[in-house]
Amino acid sequence: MARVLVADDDADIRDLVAFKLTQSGHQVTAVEDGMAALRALREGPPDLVLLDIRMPGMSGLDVCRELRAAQETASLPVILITARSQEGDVELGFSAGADDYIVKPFSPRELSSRVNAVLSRAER
Amino acid sequence: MIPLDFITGALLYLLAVGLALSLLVTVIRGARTLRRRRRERVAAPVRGLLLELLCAPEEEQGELLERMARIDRRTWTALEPTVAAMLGKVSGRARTALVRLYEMRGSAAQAVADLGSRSAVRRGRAAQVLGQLRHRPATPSLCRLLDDRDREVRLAAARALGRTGDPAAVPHLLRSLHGPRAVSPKIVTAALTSLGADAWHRLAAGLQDPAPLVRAVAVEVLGVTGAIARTPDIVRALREDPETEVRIRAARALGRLGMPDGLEPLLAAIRPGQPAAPRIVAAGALGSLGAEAATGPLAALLGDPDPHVAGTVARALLRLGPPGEAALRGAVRDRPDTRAAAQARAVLAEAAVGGTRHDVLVEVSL
Amino acid sequence: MSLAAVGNWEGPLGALHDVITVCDTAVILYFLAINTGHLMLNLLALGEITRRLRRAPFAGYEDAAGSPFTPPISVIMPAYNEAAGITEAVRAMLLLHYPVFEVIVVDDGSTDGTLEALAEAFDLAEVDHVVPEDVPIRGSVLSLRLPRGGPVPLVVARKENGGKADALNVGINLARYPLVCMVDADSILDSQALLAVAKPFSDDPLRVIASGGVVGIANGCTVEAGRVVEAHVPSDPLGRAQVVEYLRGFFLGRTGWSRIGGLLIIAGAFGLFRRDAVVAVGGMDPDCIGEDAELVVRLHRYMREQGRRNRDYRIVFVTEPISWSEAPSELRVLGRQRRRWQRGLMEILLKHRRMIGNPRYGRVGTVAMPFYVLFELAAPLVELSGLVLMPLGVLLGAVDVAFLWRFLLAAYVYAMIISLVSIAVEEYAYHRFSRWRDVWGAFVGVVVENVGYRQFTAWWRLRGMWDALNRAPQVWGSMARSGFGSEQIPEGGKRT
Repeated sequence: MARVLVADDDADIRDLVAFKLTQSGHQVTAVEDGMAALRALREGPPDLVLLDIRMPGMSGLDVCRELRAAQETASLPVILITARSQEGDVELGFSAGADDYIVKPFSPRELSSRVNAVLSRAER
Repeated sequence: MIPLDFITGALLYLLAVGLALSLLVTVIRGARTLRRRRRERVAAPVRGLLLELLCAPEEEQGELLERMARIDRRTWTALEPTVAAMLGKVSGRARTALVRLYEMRGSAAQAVADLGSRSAVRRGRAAQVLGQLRHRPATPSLCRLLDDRDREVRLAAARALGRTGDPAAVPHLLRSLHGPRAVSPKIVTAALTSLGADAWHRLAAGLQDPAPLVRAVAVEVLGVTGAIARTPDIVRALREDPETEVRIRAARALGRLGMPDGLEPLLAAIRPGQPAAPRIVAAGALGSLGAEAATGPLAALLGDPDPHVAGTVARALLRLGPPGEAALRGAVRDRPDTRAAAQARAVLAEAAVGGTRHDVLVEVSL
Repeated sequence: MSLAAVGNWEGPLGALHDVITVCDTAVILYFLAINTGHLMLNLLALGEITRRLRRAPFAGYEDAAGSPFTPPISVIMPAYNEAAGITEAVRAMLLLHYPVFEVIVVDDGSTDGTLEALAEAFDLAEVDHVVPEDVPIRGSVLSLRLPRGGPVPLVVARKENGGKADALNVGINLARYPLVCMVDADSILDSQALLAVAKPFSDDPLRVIASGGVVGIANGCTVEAGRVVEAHVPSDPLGRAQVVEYLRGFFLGRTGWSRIGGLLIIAGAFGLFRRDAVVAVGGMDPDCIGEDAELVVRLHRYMREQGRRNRDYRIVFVTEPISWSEAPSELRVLGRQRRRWQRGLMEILLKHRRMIGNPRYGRVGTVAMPFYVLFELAAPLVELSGLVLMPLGVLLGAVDVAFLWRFLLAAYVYAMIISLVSIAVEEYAYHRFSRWRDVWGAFVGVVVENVGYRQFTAWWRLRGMWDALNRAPQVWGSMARSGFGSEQIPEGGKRT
């Protein structure tokens, strides 16, 4: 049972992720872009953030860097959603400070397991 | 003499047309907004069902599928774009469920029928759907579509064949490379690559084809998919094929395959006095191959007059590890004012900063 | 044919009367011809766009995004004194959705700290470099910088100031990949832009040598972190007129030309070319003001002179709205821009005058270039002389006032109809403008474009043509030919 923030410009992915994670027992907030994600973070930091790497406006990488730069959110667990085609995405993601990544197309079941894994890692 | 009435009439007519167009713009926009809202409204109740299906455990999928299969036609039409979009975004059990859903609704059968439609757009869309569904039974029909009179339909068929994964398509794909209704070699190469190891046996036949484009594609696919058993054939292609393009692909393939048999022919291919393009690719391939024995011959080429050859040679040396690096430093130290030293310095500096740029890719076409 | 003549005149006044009548007739015919020409282009474009829309579901974009065979691209961005926006622009470029590409920024001797801004933002380190000389350059490369320790595919070169074309040539030499994409430092690209503009090269690799994209007007749009998030029509009349003009001339006009194989202009703000083709024709011409369009014309010329007929090569236009640029919002700046553009066009047509009307150059020579001469070069002249001659005609009684105002109105309405068609097509095909207010703004733009805007730009375009005639026109033979002699594209496009 954790609070999760999802940011993705694709409505289908947003709804799918929100549905699956709610089904797994988490509380999910879904936003459309990077700016909205930062706003939501300021209102009350969640336990985990899921960011799509490529969004119009602020990308997931930008948001991740912003998170790591700020004191309160520096150790907030971040999972980046990347596209299978982009070779450098994973490297870029990790150098921006992400904890894990999930590649599109993904399986909802796998998503849920990764989220749980990252959450339990963070608890320790 | 243009009568006044005529010009007045023309003016009124034009004004009417102008007004009509302005109205048209408004109508188009309005209609789109209405249509979108209506579709969302109709699809809303079942959207949740779709999400449930995607996230459901195995046991519950059957029942959900039944319910979704029974949705009425109007609702399904409104929901279908979302389902199609989801098909590309999910994998695993969720994806299998969607494919099953399409089958239960008869979409696969309908698409196969549409492959014979008189409308090119329907044929193309049907090919796309069948590819998305990875519907193998459609393979023979898709192969026939490779000869379609519409170019984009041919491309869609080739892509779909790549996804269905049926190696029986290989000879058809190779044949589609030439002729008046040819398919883009890039698309065919991508499709053949998706077929993986199953395609190797039939691809080998392509190595002997009289058409150079077919040989080039066959060599490239074998290299990318790692068909190391075919190394001797590819070596032969590098040494003997009359077409430069085939030799270039062969060199690249040998680099990808990484087998020691590749070393000698690649060393022969970088020798001066040959066209630049194969030399560049062969040098890059030697870097991928990683054989230390290549260090000497490569180092000798650091001063090559063609800067692209010399640059690729320098990068290849770097990829050979410590002996290559030593050769580069040697060039800087021993002959500091030469072209060779300049290339070596450039590559070493790049590596020191933390990233080497990719090799030049010589992209040519027959 | 004479207009409604009022009274009979004799002697020298009578001769003048006849001359005026003839001129006025000519102006009328010209108006009809130019608008009909644009209408035909628009209709061609409409057909092409509808066709592409219907085929979009099986166009294969998703495949291209994930395929290892999608050709890698070197994006070249020349920059001069862009310190304010360069970091964001480069960052946005690096985040484009494309499998493999690199971004090469060429600092053309900036004096405002452009290089320093980049060096700080991306942690750049200077490295030794070897610059190949595939294309001749004038200003030498002073330094090369790469980002430290990260997988960021960025190269920043600093060179002596030499102009945009020379900077692009340096970029071409440094480019590593088989396709080069030329962008401006203030071009705003959609994340799918490279995928869209590279698609023709995947679908038809044996023939396509260049593809260009629509460059929309960024004024009034919501731009966040280097992406146009929402497209709007700006709220000032000048902006609105420009949006409509871009829709008609750019979006529809060039699509129409692309359809019949006569595309002469690919915007410097966003164009994708085969590197070997650009090298073979010698790169950009630093002495030409319209170096982007001149490259395209030269490519056509080269490919035709090599013996390739219409079928064997293609220069295409991609219609999706994927790139944006800021348009002038002040009259003065707009005037300067149009003056420069017209001068560039004139220089190009003079330089390649051998191609005009010449069937050896296919549709480019027989249709496109004459069209440009007749309807782009001559248009400002005819427009302004019409403005003078018509009242003169009324004064001399050669033209009946009642006829004149009806005709003028009809002519303007005809022109507006052409613009309305392009708005309708945009609305139908891409509907990027999200608010009803934008539709209203577009309508206002249609009126302003034809009444006031076009006349204003006609004056500046005339001055541009005068500029071009005053400076010595660039003659084909005097251009540096080293690229041609040593590296040609032989049959099949192989680089030897």
